[in-house]
Amino acid sequence: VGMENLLPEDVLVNILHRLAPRCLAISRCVCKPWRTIIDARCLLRVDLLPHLVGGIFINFHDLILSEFISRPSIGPTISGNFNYLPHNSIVRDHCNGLLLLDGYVDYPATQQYYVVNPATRQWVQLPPCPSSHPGMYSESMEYLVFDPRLSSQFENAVYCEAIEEQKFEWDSDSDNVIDINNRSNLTGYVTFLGFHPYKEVVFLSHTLTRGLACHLNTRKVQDMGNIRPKYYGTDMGIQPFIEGSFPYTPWLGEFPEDN
Amino acid sequence: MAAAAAEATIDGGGKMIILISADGKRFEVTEAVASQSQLISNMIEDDCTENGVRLPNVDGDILTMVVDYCNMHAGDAAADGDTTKASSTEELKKFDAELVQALENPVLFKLILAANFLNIKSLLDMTCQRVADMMSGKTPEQMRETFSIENDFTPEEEAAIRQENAWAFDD
Repeated sequence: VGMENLLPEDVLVNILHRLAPRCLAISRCVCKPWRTIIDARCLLRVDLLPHLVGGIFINFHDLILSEFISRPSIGPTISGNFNYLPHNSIVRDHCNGLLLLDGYVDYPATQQYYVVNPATRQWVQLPPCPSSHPGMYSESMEYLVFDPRLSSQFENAVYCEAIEEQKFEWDSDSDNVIDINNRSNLTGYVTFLGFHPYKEVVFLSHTLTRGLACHLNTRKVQDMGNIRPKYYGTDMGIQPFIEGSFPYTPWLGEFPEDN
Repeated sequence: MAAAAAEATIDGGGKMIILISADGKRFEVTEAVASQSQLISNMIEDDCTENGVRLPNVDGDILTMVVDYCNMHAGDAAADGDTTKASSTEELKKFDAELVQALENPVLFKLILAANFLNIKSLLDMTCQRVADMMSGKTPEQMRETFSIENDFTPEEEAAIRQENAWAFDD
């Protein structure tokens, strides 16, 4: 007797709900009883998943704005333009389609934090962080955690200004494959940009000029094109390197604006 | 362990109860150990464990594992109990890992069913997680093979379902 008939439904649900979305989507094709359970219990909320990488936000050292690179990016890179925010802001973190931005206000010198959904341009200003004790040195890191499945307002999430999905998907294409046996491709240095959210893919930058998507299972390396902003590193006194990077997965929902 | 208990004794202040498997094997355990099963815990509250607890769904070899598990974990259930008896966290992890990893699928499923029937949440969680771990990273074909599942889709149906979640398949 196979597992699908041996284990009662509540036990199967217990097992299935432990699976990562991708494994759950694969399990759905195994047999009818599993598909029925997964669908009836809404275990797989594809609409709420990050199922494509829309690009990568990169903070280059000494640049005051984050760059946004997305494919095709043969020409100059798209700037991480958040000019709808009150202040120039730089990306500090990303989670499931929302960005945490840090805007520095010169006078009075303060830090403003915004949560922004670049796909919908919805944004909200966060209340100021509790300040540290006077006279004490403190260093802080900013993080953003967001689970679209827990958002109460995701039902309103049908927006028409959707990003053209397939165009930005690097991984489904097999074009731009680099011959990794050709050593001339491998000179220079490599910076880590991030992991794909659900695939065995790691994003790297090659000497700050090219983005690479490395498929760990197939040992395939794809060229994502130029990532270096125009003129970056040509000025005297600028030391070019990448300070931070955030693979970005669009989410078209609306987040609550309270608190 | 599986030997029939001659008489219920008092151990560490806890009353002993007898569990009887489907094939008639008898296990003597303390109430503290047995009440990790919500089912038995309820029976103890209702005072109906006097003549032993018959478990017609659970074979002796499976009940042996369950009793071993409950004996090992009795420490963490009784929070500030006897610390000398409570197993260390490290030991417990090792014991748990060895318990589930060595099991063949049919035995693992029987253990899941027993944990479900007896309502032992931690054992059920652990065994279900083991199955989930075995599933991850596998293709549909590999899952069917691992768990002896019959493919009841037609090739057309299967292709259509794959298409619905094509993102999960390309690599």
